[in-house]
Amino acid sequence: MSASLRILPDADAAGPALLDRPLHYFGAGGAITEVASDSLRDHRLRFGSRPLLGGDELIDALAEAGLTGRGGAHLPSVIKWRAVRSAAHADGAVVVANGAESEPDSRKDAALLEFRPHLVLDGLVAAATALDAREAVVWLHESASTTRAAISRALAERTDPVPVRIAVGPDRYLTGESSAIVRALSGGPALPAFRTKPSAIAGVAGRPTLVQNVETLARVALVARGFVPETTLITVVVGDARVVVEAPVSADLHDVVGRVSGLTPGAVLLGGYGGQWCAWSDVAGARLAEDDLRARGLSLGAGVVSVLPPGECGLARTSSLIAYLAEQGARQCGPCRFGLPAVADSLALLVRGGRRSRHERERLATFLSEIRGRGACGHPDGAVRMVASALSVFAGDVAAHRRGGCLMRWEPVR
Amino acid sequence: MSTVSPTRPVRTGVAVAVSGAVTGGFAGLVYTQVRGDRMAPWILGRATGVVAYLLLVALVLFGITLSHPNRALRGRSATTRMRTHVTLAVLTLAAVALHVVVLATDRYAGVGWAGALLPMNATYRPVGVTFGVLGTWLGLLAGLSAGAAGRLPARVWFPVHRVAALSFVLVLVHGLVTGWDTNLLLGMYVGTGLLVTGFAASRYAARGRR
Amino acid sequence: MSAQLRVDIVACDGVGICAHLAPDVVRVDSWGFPILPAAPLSGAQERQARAAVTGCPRKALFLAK
Repeated sequence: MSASLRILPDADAAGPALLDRPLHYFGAGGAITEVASDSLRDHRLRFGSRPLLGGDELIDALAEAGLTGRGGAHLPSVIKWRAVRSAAHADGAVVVANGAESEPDSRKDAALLEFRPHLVLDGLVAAATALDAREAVVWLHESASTTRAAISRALAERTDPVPVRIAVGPDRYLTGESSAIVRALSGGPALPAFRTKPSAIAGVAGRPTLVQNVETLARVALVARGFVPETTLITVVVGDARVVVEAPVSADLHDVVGRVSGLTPGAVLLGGYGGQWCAWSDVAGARLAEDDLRARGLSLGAGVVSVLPPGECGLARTSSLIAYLAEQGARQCGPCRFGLPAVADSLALLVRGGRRSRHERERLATFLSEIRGRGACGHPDGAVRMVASALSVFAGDVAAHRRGGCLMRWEPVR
Repeated sequence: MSTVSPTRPVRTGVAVAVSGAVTGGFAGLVYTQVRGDRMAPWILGRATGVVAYLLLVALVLFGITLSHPNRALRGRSATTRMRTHVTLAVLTLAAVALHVVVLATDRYAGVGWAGALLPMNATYRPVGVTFGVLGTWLGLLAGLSAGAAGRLPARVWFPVHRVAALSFVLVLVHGLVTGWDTNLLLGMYVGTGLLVTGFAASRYAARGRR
Repeated sequence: MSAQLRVDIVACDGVGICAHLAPDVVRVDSWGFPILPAAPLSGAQERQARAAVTGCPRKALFLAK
């Protein structure tokens, strides 16, 4: 994989790039070998001095820039900001930088927090002052010690009008879910809440709360300086390697992923473990822009693109993903607690193949239709979507496994 | 969703008629065999008691599985489970009713109708029989409370339904006091008693949430 | 009266009394949890639904407009 990839725009209006170069991480939970965090001085040299826009001006600029979050729905961030702003509370609002990159394969948030901590903190503080927040929190996984050290060092260099603290949650998949964060910060467990009021109105301890992805806050900091960001961060996963790449939203997905991975994938999983499989040919001509992908019924979600190299079995990979998702459920509701393990077992049987598995495809379809939309949070829906897309994209392989074989050399089914 | 098909009442009617006829046939046969035999009603009374007790054990165990945390015990279909529980309840009621009728009408049993239906009215082992009488009335209450599940709110009918536990204990004591004359029976009461208690404990012990 | 039967899926324990009391409204999934219709209920269905709401030992069901 080339380290000297030049795929960034040269336009000045877009502002400086977030990253100098693609960052290579290796292994599950692996950290990059040398972390070169920007000091406050480096930060000011790179991005310019303190942000200019604040308050309503900033919110309007965000609306104009069309900044969206990177959670499931990809809502325009300004909607959440305006909701928090108009919900008054005696104790003020709370803003949270969600750095709990719960997609196990994603590394973009770690990259931003470790390399550009001040940019993220600028965005967090800008949000806090615009939304009358008296508390700002950086939310991380317990084991993210390198990230925590980078943020602590950065905080020591700054004086901000709002106190910023670091809070950590367990190393589990659902720790990055926004209602789980609110619940944990309110003193409860880091598990999704089945709630009636959105956290923008009544979140941490009943106060209006903004939970925003770390990458989005970095872009807020750019918008506050008068820039209109045009890039997006994605993590390309091939085998053990995870490469964080910054590319313009108008970039061609085939081009970026192909060059970064150095091969022509058989299929890709877009959007992480709860995302969607698609054949490589299905995304020909697609851009990294969310609108473009949504028009095709796809999404980048947290910006993870997992590559399935030719010759690897997509069903086997899907089987290990769903086993992970089943184990990582909150155990709070029936359809997820019992349904996901049933899906995992059924798919494992299908992968094993043979006579016993001949009805498994139908059983699996029944389970998926029963679980969809009936969980307490979005976790089972993502899992179901991922498995359903696998059954569709790897349909030929399903038939081969039933006969006791495997396509191995993956081919699209038309 | 189960839609009531037009043939369902017919099928139910036929099933009831056939079972009624078979049961009636056997009952008639037994009656003709034992008429005049002094010991027969006594043996029949104890036999119906054991059958009713065993059905009660099945009923209570099954009832516990309905909300047991170990879901593997629950089997596949919720509708089948509920119907099985109701059926067991009906069978238990029928067996108990038979037990009561046989003993109440047996001139030599020392129970009589008053003794069978009211506490402390039997001549034979009044205390032991009373346990059975109370156990039956409470059991009836448990059944009726469940039957009213649709009309009474759960916070009312469910606690009342749990009186089934007390009913079981009373019936078990009744069995030990009045129904034990062989070691086999003693073993059965003790064994089933431990089984039900242990099973109930496992259901309530794991209730971190409930 | 267009009411919809809904369930608090976290409170639900899959006991299945609702399916017994409201067989024309409640369907049960492979693990004993209720699958409820999205459409508003008819008069007869609503009567069954009310019985189910009342009878649930976990108070997990409710009627919403």
